Amino acid sequence: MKKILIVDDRPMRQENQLGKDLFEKLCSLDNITRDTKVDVNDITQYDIVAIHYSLLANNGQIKEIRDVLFKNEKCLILFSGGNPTNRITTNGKEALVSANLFYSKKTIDFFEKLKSEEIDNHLLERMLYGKNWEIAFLERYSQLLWVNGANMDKWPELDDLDDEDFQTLDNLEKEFGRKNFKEINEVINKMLKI
Amino acid sequence: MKILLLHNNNLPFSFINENWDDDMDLTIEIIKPSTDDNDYDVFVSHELERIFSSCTFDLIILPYSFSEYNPIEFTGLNVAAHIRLTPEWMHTKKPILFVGPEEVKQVVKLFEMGSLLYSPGIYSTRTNSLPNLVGGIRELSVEDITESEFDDFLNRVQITRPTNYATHHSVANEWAVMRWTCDIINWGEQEMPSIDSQSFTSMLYFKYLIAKAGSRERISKNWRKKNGADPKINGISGKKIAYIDDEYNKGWSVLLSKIFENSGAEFHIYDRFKEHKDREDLITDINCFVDSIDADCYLLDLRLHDDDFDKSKGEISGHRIAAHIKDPKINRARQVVIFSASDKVWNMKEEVQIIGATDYVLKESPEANFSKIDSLNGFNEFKKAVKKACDLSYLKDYLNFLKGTSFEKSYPLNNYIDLALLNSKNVLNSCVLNLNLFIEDNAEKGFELTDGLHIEKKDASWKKKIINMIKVKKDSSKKVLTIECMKDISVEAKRYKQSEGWEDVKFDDSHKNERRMAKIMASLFYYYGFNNTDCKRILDFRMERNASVAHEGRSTSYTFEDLKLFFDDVITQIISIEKSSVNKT
Repeated sequence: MKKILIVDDRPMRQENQLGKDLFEKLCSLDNITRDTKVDVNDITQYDIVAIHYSLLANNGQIKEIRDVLFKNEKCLILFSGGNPTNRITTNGKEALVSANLFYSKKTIDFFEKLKSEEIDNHLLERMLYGKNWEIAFLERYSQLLWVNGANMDKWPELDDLDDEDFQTLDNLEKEFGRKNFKEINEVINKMLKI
Repeated sequence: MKILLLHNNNLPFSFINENWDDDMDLTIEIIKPSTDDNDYDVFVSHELERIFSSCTFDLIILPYSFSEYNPIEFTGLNVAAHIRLTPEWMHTKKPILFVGPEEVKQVVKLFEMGSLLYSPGIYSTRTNSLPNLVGGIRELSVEDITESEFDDFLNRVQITRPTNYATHHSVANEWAVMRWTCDIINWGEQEMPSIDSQSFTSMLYFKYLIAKAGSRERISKNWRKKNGADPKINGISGKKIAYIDDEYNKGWSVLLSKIFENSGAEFHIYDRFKEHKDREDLITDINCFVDSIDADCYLLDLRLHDDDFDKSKGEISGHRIAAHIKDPKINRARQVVIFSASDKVWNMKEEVQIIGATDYVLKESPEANFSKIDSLNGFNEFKKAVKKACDLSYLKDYLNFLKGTSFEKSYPLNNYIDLALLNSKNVLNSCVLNLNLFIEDNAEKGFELTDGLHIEKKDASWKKKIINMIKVKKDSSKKVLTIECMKDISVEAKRYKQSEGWEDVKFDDSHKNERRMAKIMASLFYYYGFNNTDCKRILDFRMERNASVAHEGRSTSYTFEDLKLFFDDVITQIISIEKSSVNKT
């Protein structure tokens, strides 16, 4: 079970944005802790820490929280009402998302899933893209091949890859199997029903 | 051909590092936000502002995403939309070429802004070979898109409204404050207030609204100089304005401070929203602020807390604060002007009635697409509403003045105040009647008419002849021309007055009114200490009541300002005397 901490200085915002039923569901999930303040000494017990951005932006705690969480391989979600662009950074350890997306059925359902299923990797991609989360990696796989000069059905010359790209490609190959550019594209299209 | 290539080290090496054909003048820029760039729109706007300020390009090439890690965040589309929607950069109609392994239909399926890829002047290629890319570019049309093609883009593209602007945080707040500050107010020699609007004007959604609204009407400095509004609100000098709005820091506090400073008014801003997260706690604190200021005008927004989002009428924070401001137990004559940006606020005229507000002002929004004249009128309406509230705030002072005196519950005075609050000419007659009634009720104190010729102070040994006190000379308008009273009559004076056309007053039963007036005058002069001029004024006022208002049904010539002066000079003196006599006892 993955534990999640949600810190929002205006707790009523949760109910307003989620609606009564979803809010009740959120409250009923025992893998979720809700708070209005963040205690840096207490956050490493959670797998995901989600904080309203303005809370951190105003008190300068953001660096400290990042350091503690990333050192302990935990995920950080910063959500904000003013942010319409959803992004994942820090090698999948941090997400900047809109409050709309964070307080949504999709997210609550995902948190519920984390309660009952053992999910250990790509948590933020799964939260952000739901059933399409693998596409994020398949597209990355495809991009790495493309950037490094692969043809439709051939891999690039591995000797030409820099260490980081090589390692990433190796990881993706382990996870999704060895695929060429064309095959990856076909998988993506199949997933998207194109 | 001048080409701009944007990337974040996620394009083929050859695109970035090898020589392109000589006729292609390439500028390469990295778009790489830091972890602290939480607002992507601000980051992108800042970067592109820098890039486009120095050069004009014929073609812009970019990837679908600028993330090195996550190719499906599609920030490249976000950047392209910024280029299309920011006229200041002069590249809104330039061709844009996306490069990447993605298929367009995949992007469209995964990203709601993907429809942009089907709009005119947007191209894509999956090639990772530089010669192929260059060859493809040569076949492209690098002409600017037309106006109608731009409209096609606007119709296709979908820009997400940020959560903050989906509820009561209407985009109108930032828009209206910017519009008034930069376009509508003629600051003359003064420095324009510095409004921090970067995060707002950088917002893609804002740019989209402006473009959708038929483009923001450009307002030249000359127009502003010639037609712009004076920032000063005349006639509110020395008045206190209290401002309650959770969006105060979106530029309003800066702008309004400047306006009220110009007008000589005191300006108080409630700024403790962050300290009071709980709605009930917030309302309590704002109510304390309201009472501590005793303002002449409360400028009040209605939705002051996130939890107001789903509240019904009357339960919204602003309604509850308005109810406190207008609480009869405290002072029902306090003046509220609703100042709201919310597009969810119900019919405003109804709101004004429910709340008992003086007026309302809606902050204009870009969706409404106001012309410059509409915006100018909007600002002038704001000035008028504040002025009206300040003009009426004297009634609040009257209620404060009455508080704790035996007149606090005075029927005619409370009636007068309630009628004057309506601020309608239709109630002026009733106001005159009520103030007269108050004088009748209170200005007969301590005196009795004895024989019709003398007035006698109760429990005292002296008598005054009052005969001349009520001998009035009237002109055709029945106004009192002069009053010779308050002193014992001498034969000489009597002769003189007869020669001037004075008539003796009669003290038979048909002249009860005169006798009563004599009593009142004696009381006003001897007991309350009014001088002859003010006694005459009171008699005039009485005449107005008798001759015109009460019996003839014509509208009084008295204005609210006349009544206010009368109250200030006469009624307050009566009340003060009563107050001090109570204090003495």
